[in-house]
Parts: sequence; C-alpha cells; structure tokens
Amino acid sequence: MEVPPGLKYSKEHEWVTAEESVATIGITDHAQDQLGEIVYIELPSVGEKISKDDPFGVVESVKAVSDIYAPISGTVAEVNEGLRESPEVINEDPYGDGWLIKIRVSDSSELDDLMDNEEYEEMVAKEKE
Amino acid sequence: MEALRRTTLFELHRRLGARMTVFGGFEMPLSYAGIIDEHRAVRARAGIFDLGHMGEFELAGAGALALLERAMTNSAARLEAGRAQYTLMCTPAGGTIDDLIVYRLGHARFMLCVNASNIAADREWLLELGAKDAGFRDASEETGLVAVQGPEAQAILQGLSPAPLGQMRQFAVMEAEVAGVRCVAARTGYTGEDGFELFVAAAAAAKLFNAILEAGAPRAMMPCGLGARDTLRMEAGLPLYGHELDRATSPLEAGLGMFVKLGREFVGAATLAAQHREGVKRHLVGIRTEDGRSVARQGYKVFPEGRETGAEIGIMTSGTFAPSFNRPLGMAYLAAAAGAPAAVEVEIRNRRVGAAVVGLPFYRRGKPPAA
Repeated sequence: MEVPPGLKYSKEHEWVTAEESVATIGITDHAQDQLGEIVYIELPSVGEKISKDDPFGVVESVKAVSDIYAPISGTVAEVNEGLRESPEVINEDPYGDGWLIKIRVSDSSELDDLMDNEEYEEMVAKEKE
Repeated sequence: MEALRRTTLFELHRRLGARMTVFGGFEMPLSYAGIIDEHRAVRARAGIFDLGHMGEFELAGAGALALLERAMTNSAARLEAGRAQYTLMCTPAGGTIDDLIVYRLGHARFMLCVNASNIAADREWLLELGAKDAGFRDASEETGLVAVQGPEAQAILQGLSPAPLGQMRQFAVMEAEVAGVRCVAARTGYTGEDGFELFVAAAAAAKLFNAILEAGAPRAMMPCGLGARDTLRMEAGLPLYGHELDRATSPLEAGLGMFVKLGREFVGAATLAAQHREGVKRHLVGIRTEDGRSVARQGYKVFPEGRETGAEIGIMTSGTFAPSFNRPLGMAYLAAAAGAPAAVEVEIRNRRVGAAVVGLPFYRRGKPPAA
C-alpha cells in the first residue's frame, strides 16, 4: 500500500494536497485496492460547492458502489474529465493521473483535522486487524 | 456469530495473491489478477475456481430416489446413472429453500451439491423429510470442489486424466482420476461456458488445484475468484440464491419452469401448480441501463418509464458491470400487473436512469455478445 508523505488523509480514504488556496482531491491507494476495478465515476461539476464529510461523488467498481466524501469544504474548480472515459486510471495511479477534483478551499483550517501519511497508515493497519 | 471457515486451499490462495471475501460463512478468494481479466479468461480460454465452500450431501439406498422425488421440483426419476440435473427444493408454499444439482452416481446412489449459505438449512429440511431413511450423509466438511471452466477446460483436464473426460456430455458425471487424484468429475458449471466440476477429498484438493494450474499455464488459464464467478453467472442469466431466489420466491417466478416437473407429489407442488395455471405475479427479466454506465444493483427500485410519480413495479436482484458486454447489466423482478414493458426506469441514488427490459440470458455460449 502506497501512502505518500506530504498529503493529508481522511478517515474515508480520500487524500488532499495540503494547499491553502486550491487543493487536489483523490482516493487513496488502499481505497482503490479495496474497491477493485473501477468502471464508473460520478463527479460534481465546476462551480459546485462541496462540504467537509459530505459525499461529493460516487465510484463504482465491478463489485460495489461507494460514496466519495469531501475531506474539506470548497468550490469545485476543476474536474478530471479523463476519468469519465478511463476510470481505471484511478486504480493505476490514484495519487497522480487518477486525481478526482480540484477545489478552491473555503476554510483551510479544516486541513488540520486530517491525518498525515503515518497516521493514515496506522489507521488502515488497525482496520485490517 | 460463527467463526469464518476456510477451505483447504486457503494458503494457496494467499500465495497466489488472492484478495479474500466472505461468502456463505467462508473466507474465499474474491479475485486474484482482477475480476475483469479473470472473467475474460474464462470466456476466451479457461479459469480455475476453488468452490470448496459448496455443500455436498450423499443419499444412498432404497429410500434415496423417493426422498428426492418428494423434496425436489425436478424429477430425479428421469435421471440415468451418470447424469446430473439442476433442481430446486421448495417450501409447501412454493418458496425456494435452495437451488442445487443432483448427481446420480449409481442406480441408488446420489450426490447433491448445495449452496454454502444453505448447508445447515438444507440438511435440517431433508432430515425432516426423512433423509435418515435415505442413507443421508452430509459430506460437506471433507469434500473439496475445483471447477475448471472455459472453452479450453477440456483440453487442459484431458491431459491430466486417463478417463474419457472429453467424451462426457453436458451434465454427465463419472468417477475419474485427474492428476492422480480420485474425483467425481461432472461436466457442469456456473459460468455459461463448457467446463468441469471436480469433487475431491478436501485433503487432496490442493494437489489437484496445483496440477491443473500447472497444466493450464501454457494456455493462460487463470485462477478465478467469486467476483468473476458472479459476473459470469449473471451474464449467463443463472440465478444466485439470495439474489434471484429465496424463500419468498418461487422457481416459476424465476423463470425456472423447465426444472419444475408438475403432475408429481412433491413439496410445494400444489402452490406451483396453481401458479402455473393462474400465472405468476412477478417474473425475472434482464435489465440494461441505457446510459451504459450506471450499475443497477440489488435492491434498487424499478419504475415505469416516463412517470415522475407512482409506485415501483419491480426490484433489482443482481446488477454488475458485465465484462463481455463492456457495460452494466442486471436482473430484476417485474410485477406481472405492469405488463411487459420494453423500457423502465431504475432509481439509482435518487436519480432515474432509463433501462431496457431484455430477455435472459444475456450471454449464450457460441453466440457473440449482442446486448
């Protein structure tokens, strides 16, 4: 399981770049691994507001459907359009080309509630027990 | 809660890198390389499955056939030795207790292969019907099951066995040695492809599985998990207990009338005969979401097309991405009162998605996928 340093992680297995103005959001390597092959993704449109801890999208794998939760609040600035045709990129490169959305952060203090890579790794290890 | 059970192949699955899941009280492989690749391997070449979780019952002696005739909707009396049949076991009210395969191994010797989740319930029910006098034995614990499915399954297994496996017809069964392991070999399966199911002593299952893995490697056979088993059976329109079948659902509603031989005295016969006469109140159909993306999964409600209000007319029982068609497909029960609509809407996360109602199965061997 890959958990790069420098990112912030949510307990719902999303990652976010710890930037104060525009943040990129995706799902973790562990999340994509648990979901299995992703075949469909639903994402919000540019301009939509998303709120911390609320679902902002849906990821559908062969075997299950899961909500994607906003790790922090903000306004959608950009959507990874390439995923509509090639959602499997999320499996292949969850922290790179598989990013989901970029948002204009509305309250950067929310980043403080998230985990760093070591804390997230620890949480996943506990979940596996 | 009962502790999770494992088959004798558990450590082998670990070594093969399987992702595990829980099914029918067992910790089983969900997938190894990936559901889609495994699915396609079975359609194009071959795949091997550990089905050690399935239950096996033996019946023998003078009372065996009579018990089957009374307990099952299909008539085992029509079965010759060396043949198998798909059948169902119903409640007096015509609900389905389980769907299973009956193998007639000898004149008065039968084996039943039942769903893992129903082993205990089936055993109790059969004992209630007098299975003690029919030489009943629950052999589930000590019996392993390895399935090899796909167009190249025959070639792979024939190379490992002196028995004439290749000459077996669909639903034939024989005792055979494969890779030096004694098994009951049946030309049955749950994938919509040609293939074999090998019942074997649980202790010998790993030896058999490994030998077949090795023999299948040059043909790019893949180990397959329950994920691919589910997508394969769904495309082939085969019911899965707990999805298309349960105690509130009759085999006739599930479109399994050809496995219900009326005019005999069996449990549920009166109810099923009435349903046959008067028509069922709902029936199983194929559902193809028209956006080609949204997966209509089990439990999602089905509504009439183009109507914002009004009650649902059906409910999804299965739904998944169908790798042979590269789009999601599913199955649903539709109320007979709704007529036979060609199009419906499925409520997927508070949104209505248009869907075509299509006949089952989606996939038939030898015919190119058209859905």
